[in-house]
Amino acid sequence: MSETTPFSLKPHLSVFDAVADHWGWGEQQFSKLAEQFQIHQTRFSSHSPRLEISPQPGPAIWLLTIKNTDFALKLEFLNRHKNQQITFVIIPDQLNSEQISQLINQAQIFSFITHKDELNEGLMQAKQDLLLKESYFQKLKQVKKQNRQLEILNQNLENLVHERTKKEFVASQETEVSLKDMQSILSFIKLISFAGSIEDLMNEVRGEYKKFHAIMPPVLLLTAGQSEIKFFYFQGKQFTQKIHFNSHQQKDLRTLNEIDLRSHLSNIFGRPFGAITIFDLEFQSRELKPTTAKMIFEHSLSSQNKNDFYDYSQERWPIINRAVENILLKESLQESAKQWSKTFNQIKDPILILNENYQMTLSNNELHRNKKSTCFQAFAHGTAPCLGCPIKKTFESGEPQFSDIHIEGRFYKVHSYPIRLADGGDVTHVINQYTDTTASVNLRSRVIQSEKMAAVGLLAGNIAHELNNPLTGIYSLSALLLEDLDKNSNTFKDLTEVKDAAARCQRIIKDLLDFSSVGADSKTKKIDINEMVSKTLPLLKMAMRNLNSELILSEQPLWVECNPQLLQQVIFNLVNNACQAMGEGGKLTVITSESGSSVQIIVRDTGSGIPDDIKSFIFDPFFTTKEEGKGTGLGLSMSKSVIERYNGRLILNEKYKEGTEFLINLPAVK
Amino acid sequence: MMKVLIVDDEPLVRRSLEKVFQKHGHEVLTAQDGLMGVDAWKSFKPDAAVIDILMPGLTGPELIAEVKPSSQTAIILISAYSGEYNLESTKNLGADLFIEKPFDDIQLIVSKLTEIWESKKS
Repeated sequence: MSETTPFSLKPHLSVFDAVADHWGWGEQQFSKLAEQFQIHQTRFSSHSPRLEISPQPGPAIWLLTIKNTDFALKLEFLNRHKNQQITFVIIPDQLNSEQISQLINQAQIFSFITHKDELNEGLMQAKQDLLLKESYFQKLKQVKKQNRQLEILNQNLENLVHERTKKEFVASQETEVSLKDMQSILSFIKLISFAGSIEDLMNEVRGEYKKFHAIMPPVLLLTAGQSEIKFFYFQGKQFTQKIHFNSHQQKDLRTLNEIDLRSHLSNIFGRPFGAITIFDLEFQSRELKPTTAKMIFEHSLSSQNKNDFYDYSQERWPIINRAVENILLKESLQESAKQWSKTFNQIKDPILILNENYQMTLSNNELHRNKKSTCFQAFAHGTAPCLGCPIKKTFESGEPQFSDIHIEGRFYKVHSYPIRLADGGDVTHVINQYTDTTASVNLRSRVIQSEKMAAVGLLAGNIAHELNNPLTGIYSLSALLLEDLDKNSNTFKDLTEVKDAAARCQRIIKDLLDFSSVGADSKTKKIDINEMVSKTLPLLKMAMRNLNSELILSEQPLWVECNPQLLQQVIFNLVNNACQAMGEGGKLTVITSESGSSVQIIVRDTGSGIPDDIKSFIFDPFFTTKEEGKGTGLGLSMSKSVIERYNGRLILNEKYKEGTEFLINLPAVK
Repeated sequence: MMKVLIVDDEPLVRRSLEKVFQKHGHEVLTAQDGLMGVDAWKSFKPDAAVIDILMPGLTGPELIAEVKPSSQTAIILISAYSGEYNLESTKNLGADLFIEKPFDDIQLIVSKLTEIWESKKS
């Protein structure tokens, strides 16, 4: 506690004029008193006592004379009221002892001096009293001061508590707000993560920003290349997308500035565009690296609202970014899955993915799409794995296998490839690829067949030559022996039969040699068609044995210019086909004739005829309706090419309905 | 009368030729392959010969080359493989005529060979 004003060793003493007058004090008395007090000579009207006349606030001794009690009471009242701590020393003037004792009781007058000699004593006592009073006053002042300080402290404390309480309130309010924010962000995340398409997403974003009235619905821009930009936006409530040609071709979308973008947007919306805020989207995944995306909000926000908008967006932006990325990824995945399945389904060969139980998990063909069905049910319409199926071997060996299977008259090469879903794990599935090899198998068998025929031809040639030697001997020896015999004897007749048989054999062999030596001598000759037909038919005696045959040859020789062996083969082929078309029973007719400058050969049968749907194929190489091994599919095509080589025509007479009729026309020569 | 050598690996051909030449009064010797033909030629010294081309041992042309016949000798080559032979090539092989097997008239061989032999003699 700080030191208060020290007690004045000389207390203030106010001496009122009346005192000096009352006792007739001179300078002497005052200077004597001045040793003990600071003296103030004062005057005031006894009718209007005012304490302001006191030289200074604080304790003082007032020495005054009073004539009535009222005045003293008033003073005392004022003193008490104003807490002036004045000690009154009164010199009563015209007061009786009753009045004095009333004042002592009522007015707290310190002392009454009734005699000059009592003055010193009285003043000294008053001084003591004053000093006491002063010390009390000081103490009071101190206490007051302390109280005040305490009060201030208390106030401060109160303020502090108040402040703290207020802060806490604000803080709890803030927490509540941020909790609300968090909840709203969470629900936004939830909603946007359910968005399955750009449209869903845009609707969510639009809803999320609805609270800003000065914000228009969002616009999303996407580009994967430089030439076009995809715009996703709302026209009214309708979600729309549009591809817009990028007129700022030299610029990447990333570098398009606000003005460029606004011009694009104005073109699309058909109205001028206000202020926009652009958010650049950034994608993490490699698949979307070439994709650039921006989300744009048109707005008319005040600068204060703009900050709110930015704060609001700051929290939502990464979420939207991620959601757009997810949807784009999903779309690109779906796209590539679609592309893959399209590619897969476009493969013409059937491809099946199968498990160990031959059950299909995937197929590239609609016909085999019935899941849970097995490959042999779906593909081969069988009840057990196909003969030669490589699947089991593939599962066992873990290596690709292949084999040939035969299903419903068609040949398939089956390649079976193992699939291990885990690295180094067991084979869980196989991919089976079925290649239809029917055509090539048939072709191969035909090639084999024609090679066989060639070999047979060569063999026949050699055999024919070998047979010629003994036949020559048989024939010649018989002829010689006959010369020695009696023409009527039985031996002569028998030996004649032997000689004739040998001659017949020689003829057959000669024809066979002619027939098999095609190409050895491809020179053309002038030949008689009639002779050629006559020479060829005996070669087909076997084929014709159960048939009626009619040979109608023109009376005159029919000369043509061509290779005899080749022409013989053509006639052989046509007649042989006719015989085969009839099988057991029927009538074969061969007619030769001349009409103007051309020679005609007709080969006609009464067989089943050629079905309309294959008429256009019959002259194609390797086309055959005959059983495997019976025909090469080369006969008609080779015949046609031979006849055309000599400027002739070989045609099927489609007007003939009782069977089949082929017509050969060749230029006649004289 | 000629001394005729017949060389052919086919017995029936040998037999029929032998018979027909003998019938016309010629002296005949037969051999069944090229090597035996050479031996027979050297001992028999024929005036005329009918020789098969394809035979075991030596072929007909090889036989002719081996025995080097005089220009007086009449020689006919016979074969079932006719393709590569004509008159020109036959001459080059040292023969006078080529006849394709099978022959229709065996008498023709006798008359042809006689004709050649007689024309060479005069």
